[in-house]
Amino acid sequence: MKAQSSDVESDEEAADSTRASSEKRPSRELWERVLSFPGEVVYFPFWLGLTAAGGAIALNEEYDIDRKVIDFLTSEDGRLGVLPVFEPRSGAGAQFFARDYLNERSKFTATASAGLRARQLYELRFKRVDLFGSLLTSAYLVQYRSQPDERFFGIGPTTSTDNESNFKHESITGRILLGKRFGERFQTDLVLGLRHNIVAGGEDDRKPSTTELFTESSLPGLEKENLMGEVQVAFQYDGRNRPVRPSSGFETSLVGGVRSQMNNDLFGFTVVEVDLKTYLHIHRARILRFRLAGQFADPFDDREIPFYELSELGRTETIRGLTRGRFRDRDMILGSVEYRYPIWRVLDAHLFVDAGQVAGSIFDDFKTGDLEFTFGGGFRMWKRSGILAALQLGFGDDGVRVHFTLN
Amino acid sequence: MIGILRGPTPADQHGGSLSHFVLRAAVVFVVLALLAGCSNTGFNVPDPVPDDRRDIPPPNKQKIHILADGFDKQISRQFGQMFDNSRNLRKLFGKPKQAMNVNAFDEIDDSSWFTNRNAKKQMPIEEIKRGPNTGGGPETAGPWTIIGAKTEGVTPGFTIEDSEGGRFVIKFDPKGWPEMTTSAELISTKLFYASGYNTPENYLTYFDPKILRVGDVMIEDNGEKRSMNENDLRNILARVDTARDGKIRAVASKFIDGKLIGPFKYHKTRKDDPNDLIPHEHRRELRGLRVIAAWLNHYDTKANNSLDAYVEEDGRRFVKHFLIDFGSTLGSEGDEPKPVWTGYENTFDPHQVTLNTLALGLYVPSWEKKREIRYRSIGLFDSHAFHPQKFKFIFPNLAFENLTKRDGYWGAKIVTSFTDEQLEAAVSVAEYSDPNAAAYLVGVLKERRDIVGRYWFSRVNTLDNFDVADGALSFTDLAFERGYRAQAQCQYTIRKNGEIITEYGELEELDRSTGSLSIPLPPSESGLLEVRLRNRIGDGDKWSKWLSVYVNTDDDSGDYSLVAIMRGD
Repeated sequence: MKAQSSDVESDEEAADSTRASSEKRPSRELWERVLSFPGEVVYFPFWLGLTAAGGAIALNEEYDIDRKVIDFLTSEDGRLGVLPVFEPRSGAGAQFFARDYLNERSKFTATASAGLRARQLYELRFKRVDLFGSLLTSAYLVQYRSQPDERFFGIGPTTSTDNESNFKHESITGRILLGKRFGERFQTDLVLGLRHNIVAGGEDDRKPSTTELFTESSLPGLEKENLMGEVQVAFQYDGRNRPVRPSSGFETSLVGGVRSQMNNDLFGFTVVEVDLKTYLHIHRARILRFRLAGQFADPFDDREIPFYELSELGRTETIRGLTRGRFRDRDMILGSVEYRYPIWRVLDAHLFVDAGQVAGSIFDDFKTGDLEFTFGGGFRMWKRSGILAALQLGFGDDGVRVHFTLN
Repeated sequence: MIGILRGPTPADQHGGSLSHFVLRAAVVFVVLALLAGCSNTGFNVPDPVPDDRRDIPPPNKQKIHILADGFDKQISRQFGQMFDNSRNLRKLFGKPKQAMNVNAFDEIDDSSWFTNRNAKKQMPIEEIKRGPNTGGGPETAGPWTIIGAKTEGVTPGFTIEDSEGGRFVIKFDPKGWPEMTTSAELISTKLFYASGYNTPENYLTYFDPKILRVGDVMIEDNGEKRSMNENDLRNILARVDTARDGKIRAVASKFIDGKLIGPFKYHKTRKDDPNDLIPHEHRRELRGLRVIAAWLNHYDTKANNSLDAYVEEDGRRFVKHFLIDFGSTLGSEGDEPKPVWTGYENTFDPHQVTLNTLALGLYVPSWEKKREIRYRSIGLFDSHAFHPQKFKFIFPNLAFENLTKRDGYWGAKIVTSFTDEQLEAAVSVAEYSDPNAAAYLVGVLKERRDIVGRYWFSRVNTLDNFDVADGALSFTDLAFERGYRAQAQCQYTIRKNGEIITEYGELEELDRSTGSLSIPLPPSESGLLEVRLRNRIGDGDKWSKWLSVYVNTDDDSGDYSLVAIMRGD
């Protein structure tokens, strides 16, 4: 007799000591169920949450809810629509958009959002509007922003978090940009703008108000309405091999501008900004990015720079481990090294070290000991058209700062 | 569930009263129960499983949501397993749960899921080429009426009714990748069928697009349903590859007979199918599918690439289980070549993402390197860095995760049962225009087959094909027979009623052409003989675990008969 399944006995033959049961077999025996019970008790709350999430996914798939919502919020051709928006600084809200309404690639957006302590943003924006055929591109912005709890730590490179205060900053901005592109890589812009600033006491009760600690004379710009005019010229060169996840090449921008008070002659200054980034491919999508940047503000004779217009270290695009507004002064320089590596098909991780310093005159007052170093890392989710979301954690002497952006 | 032929085991003696113990006692018991299996002097065979092709009433249609299923497998169940004490304990003690539908010889019987084919008896070349096909495919002279269409998504296609009333799903090659997807579909159909699985009848066809007629078809257009028109047909055809003579190469997949009731799951049983008794995660053919699917680069083994049909055969109506949709096997991803990561990462793989994050990009896996598409008609398919056990699928599969060494051996027996000639025959059905491409594909299939063989045959006792005749127990060493070991060498011990008759007898075979090894059995007397065997496995001198063959003597005739084979894991 050969041991092959074809020769295996029929049910009757096999059942010399047992009978073929027509009962469904349990996947676990009794002792396994008993032993697993404590674990199941612990897992139960997770099970509930995961089951609910799975159910929601199934429900969405069954009824195509996400597509129906998008269809409801956008026009049939996708050119008009309303989308939710979120930004930590201005909160959550909605954005109406209209694409290709004047020319191809043009876009109009109207945004309204609000957040904690009545942070508000209302904005009308026109992008990529062609002028004179396609000789020039233009963009237009009208914006109202209210930040009731902007932070202020003092001026200079050695300010302490013990001196933190907060102030309210409202602004109404109007801006026109005229741009000219030269080839694929070079772009020059002319920006004309007006901004009405109103500064008042901060609304975060956990910290003292800046208006309680400083006077208008000790801190230029405090408790003063002003209307600032702005003229700015920018040159940009983009030599990266691709705009999303660049692995080689460099990009640079040079911005020079004048800002002057229009309703009085208290404030007036020039600003020069330089930014240079270069990308170095190490091996198989492992990239090093080096960055050097600086901002240099210089007041006109007998005029001042409002403290909220000073160069700043602490914004997301500066040093990532610092609190917003952490260091302010006329000049700022920073350097950054970032190592990027892929961890999934649409997800990259990165590690960075940022360093920078503010000073009244960086060329005269730069001190190595005053350099602020922060480090950290994060993740960027991307697709071919751009970065979808980024989460970054920056660590510095003052603690941890979380940056999250969603496009 | 274990049926005891010769007295209860210690595990069973305790099993009935376990619920009365407190937790600590339960843990102690479980440990003892797990260990008890090693010292068992009797032999256990699984409860026999009744034929699952009995007449049953029609079950309901079942739907599985792809994303929700992916979330369940990739997130919920993976997380839940961390809290599964019994599973973790089994892992800790190396006592995995064995498949529940095996017979006394560690094989599975033919069922509504599986039919023993090539591994049981070499199929002739013509049968390999024919596969599941019973006819000649759609009639290409007359008009084809489109009765269903998929206009959106990355892989367009439609369903037609030919001039003779035959209904087929028509699948294409993506533009720029001629022969790639259709070949994968055809070749894998033949190989999965010859392995034993139920597959649809898939036919290679070349048709003139002029024979297409748009029938009364509703399609989805941006979420809205509307009638299909000629423009939609043109849009579909614009996205598929066309041969130089204007004809279109396609696979025509014949509608499966019976009432289609949706995909099957790789876990639990179907509640409305009284024949479905064994939890799917514990079915040998679904666990072992992991080995065969890895061989054929069948990454997309999600539930929705299976199909249950309520069929009528031999006057009985029951549920038959099919594997479908092989367009994403071998080097094809359906609409493009296989991406390099396929087989090495799940679609979303939190475990791998975590490892990659912690590795800081310093580790570059070997599969990222040195891989190229040699033929556009094949896509990305090679044996570079192929590992049969580490191969990853679209998302974790509960049946695959339960694979034991015995299941792996079962799967490897099927994979290695395919001869070079059979593989050439299977590839020939794709009618590659470039013979070099066909030769390359056959070469890779052979290489991957041998990697599978070398891997699994070096982990278990590979003595097989047992037979008793003329007072001797004969068998073969599959690893030796199939060329994965240079020589067969084994030791045996014979016991009768617990008493040792022969201890550590040695057998050796150096020449594959001389056939099987043979052990003379002691003179016939009534009773049960246990022949314990172990063999050298792998490349070195490592011994396998013992395997026991039980031989009974008929009281009247004195003939020997095989009773059971107990293979260690």
